[in-house]
Amino acid sequence: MKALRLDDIPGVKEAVAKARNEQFRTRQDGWLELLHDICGIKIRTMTVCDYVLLERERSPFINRCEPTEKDLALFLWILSPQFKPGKSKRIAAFLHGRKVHRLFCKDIPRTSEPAVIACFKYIDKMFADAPPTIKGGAESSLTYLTGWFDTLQSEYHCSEADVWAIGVPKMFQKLNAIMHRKNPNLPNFNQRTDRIKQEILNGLLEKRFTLDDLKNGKATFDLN
Amino acid sequence: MATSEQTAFYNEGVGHGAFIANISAAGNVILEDFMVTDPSKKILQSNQIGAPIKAAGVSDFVTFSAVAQCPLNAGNPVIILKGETFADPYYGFTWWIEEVSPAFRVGEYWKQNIKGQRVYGYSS
Repeated sequence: MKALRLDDIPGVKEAVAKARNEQFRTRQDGWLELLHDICGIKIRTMTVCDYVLLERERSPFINRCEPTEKDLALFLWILSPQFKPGKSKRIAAFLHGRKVHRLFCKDIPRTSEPAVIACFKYIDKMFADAPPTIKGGAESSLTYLTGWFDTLQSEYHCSEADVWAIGVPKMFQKLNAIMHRKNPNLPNFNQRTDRIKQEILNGLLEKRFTLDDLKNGKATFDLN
Repeated sequence: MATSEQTAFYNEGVGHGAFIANISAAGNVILEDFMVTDPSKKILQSNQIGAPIKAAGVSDFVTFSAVAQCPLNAGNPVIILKGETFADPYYGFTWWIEEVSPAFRVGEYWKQNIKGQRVYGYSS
């Protein structure tokens, strides 16, 4: 039986340290609720309310499928700093849609692709700390919103309006903190470092390289 | 950059760095937060009224706890089962797994908490 420390694999220690720092910055950004840049268009940090709205609109960015130009425009409008849920802003929406069309839809897919990729990266950032689920757990009769509202309101005694307005990354970090406080044995997940480790495991399982190849720096895999 | 204090909340950063363990049935698995407990116990001998006469210390059974990141086979996690064995690169011991948690999932990553004991009278 062999064992190999990840630190002994050339390049992995540095890649893991870089990934940890990136994750640290992403988590901090979640608290600062910064504006994000999508190829020149500013969007807000997604709130619970935005998520529900996008989910109701069956946004391909939430469901991880290919979006149309209309989907891109709607996504960027719902998350724009000008958008206020429940308030009609038809002229602002029209002008925003025209700007999106002018910037990204002149020569699809060449002009739209960078924006679509940036939107998916934004989604990855928003959901980087989604709390873990358990394999084989029973099907819940409650909606995910019940879980989010119930947990946050019972722990922090905040109003429903506060929960609707909370940023999704901040909420996930709070839910993780609550889960870890109640169950200290819960494993920690870090999407960025876990991805590097999974790359190594997949390569070994698919026999693309061996432990010796890894140790001698002969294995090639994506560390970024 | 995160300091150790900043990342050490909720057990983050506890134990040894991650390593690839070749587990007998599950294959290659990455173990992180590998923490070994090496306890001792005292043997005390006292006289009829409880006054100390002799004392000695002996090593007790060595145990470990770790978090395993499961490999994926066609998108499904290869779940670690109790009774499996592996070697570690820090102590050079062979360990057997006596307790496994359910698999926790975030996206495409699956993890299990595992606990176990050193295998005695067996060298890797």
